[in-house]
Amino acid sequence: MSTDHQAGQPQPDERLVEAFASAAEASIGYELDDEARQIVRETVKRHQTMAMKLRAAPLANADEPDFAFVPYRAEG
Amino acid sequence: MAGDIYNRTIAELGKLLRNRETTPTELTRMYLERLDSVARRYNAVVTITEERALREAANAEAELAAGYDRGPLHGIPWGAKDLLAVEGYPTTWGAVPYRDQTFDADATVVRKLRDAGAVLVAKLGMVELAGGMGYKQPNASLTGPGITPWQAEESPSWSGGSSSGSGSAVAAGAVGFAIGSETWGSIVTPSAFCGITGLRPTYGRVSRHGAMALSWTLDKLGPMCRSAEDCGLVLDAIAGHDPADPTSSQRDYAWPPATLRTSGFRFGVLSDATAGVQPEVRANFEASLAVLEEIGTVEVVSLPDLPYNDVASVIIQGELASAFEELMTSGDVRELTAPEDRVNGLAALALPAHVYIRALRVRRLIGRAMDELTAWYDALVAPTLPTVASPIDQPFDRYFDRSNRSPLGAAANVAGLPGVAVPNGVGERGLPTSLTLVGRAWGENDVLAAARAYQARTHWHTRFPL
Repeated sequence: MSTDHQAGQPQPDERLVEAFASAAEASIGYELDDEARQIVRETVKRHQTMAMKLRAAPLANADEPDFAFVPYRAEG
Repeated sequence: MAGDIYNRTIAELGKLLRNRETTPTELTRMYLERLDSVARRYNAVVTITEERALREAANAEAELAAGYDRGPLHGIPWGAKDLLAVEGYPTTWGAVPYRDQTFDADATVVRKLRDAGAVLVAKLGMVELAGGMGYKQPNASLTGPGITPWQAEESPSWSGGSSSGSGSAVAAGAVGFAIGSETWGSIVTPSAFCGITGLRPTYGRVSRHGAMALSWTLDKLGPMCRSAEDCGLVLDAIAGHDPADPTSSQRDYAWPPATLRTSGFRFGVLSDATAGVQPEVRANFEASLAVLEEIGTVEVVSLPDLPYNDVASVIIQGELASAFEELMTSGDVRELTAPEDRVNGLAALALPAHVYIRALRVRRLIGRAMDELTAWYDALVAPTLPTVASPIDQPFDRYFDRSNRSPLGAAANVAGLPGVAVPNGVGERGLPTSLTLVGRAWGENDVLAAARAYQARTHWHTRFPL
């Protein structure tokens, strides 16, 4: 994590942003132009910023995700 | 008859039918004509389901004539957001890549409304893929930008999204009511911008079977109507458990409730409810609070400090990446109407699983915190949106700052809480403003009763744009 000195807000690690932006582009079967590539990069950066905010919420190991898995058994 | 019928509520239309002042077929033909001649101007219509409508209307007519009454929706024409499957008609999800898509069965909501005797007259316009790809301006649908019927000639403005056609068709009197869907704001926003009453039910109250999935854990279907009373009547018909949707609840729902309160409500007003809102939005909200004080108590409250908007965003991104993975990886996403929608979702393909799971873990904290807060009140109240509808030809961020959106909407959607948006005045450029009431989980009847009591003391929901 780096720091944006102007805004005083922590900023996502640029290496992570580059890595996830590259992974997103590699996931699709076609080439992006420079403008689209920049949008993907900015969106990844927003995702990383959101992830940092989520990490600030206090969670213990026992705090489970809010979904329940229900084992399946067909009727009859 | 035709001149003033289009602004009638469901109860008023039902009275006309039962007094034999009109018939389901006559009513249906009037709405079919209205959809074609008026609602299309607002890009509200994808498909007019004329053949089915006339068949259902004839059935309703025969049944009512024979004394078989299916209830308040019997013979009432309605419209479905075009993410609901309807057998025999295209279901486009508002998006060019799916314009010829068909399903061989009705969505559960469509079937339930058919069983209640309602008459499906149209499939209504929507923002492509329910807005999940991050559209930034109104022109993001295969039917064109949604336009609110208010001031449509003088100052054409956005209808709101993603249930854009549902909002503008109800406002224009082209359907008796409509069904919309909300993942994060998609019922309450068009309800606010079109000056109608919209209900976001508790997550799980209404089956999602047969509806397009944007986010399986956030999507809700709900009524968009001319009054809170109408929303209750429609919810009564569509609520309930559905084996085809395991997330649908076994809890019973009925409208009207056994005891319908008209006073004695407890309201919580968010301490920062009017921060950054337009002056008219603020003035109308303060006037609304004065009305709410006539029917209950009003206390200032604060939302617990939690990352509501971030949790909502991450969950939607994580789930849409899976729901639309093939669309994005194949390149078909490049056929979407809004240029930004062709690219904005791609980054979600690389959203780490641990970030999504963390959002779900924080969601549980939010659910508990919101329940502790809402347990004390019948409704938390705030302006539905900080502004009126933006001009139709402008990007959203030129008119309002999306980062300024109230955390209440995200908190309520993340926690799955019900909320109703009701018109509460006139704002900039003569456009409607709106009040939102958010309740405790499964507390639809508390917010609807409060909204109904508010509407009994105000006239904003009776105004008609045409």
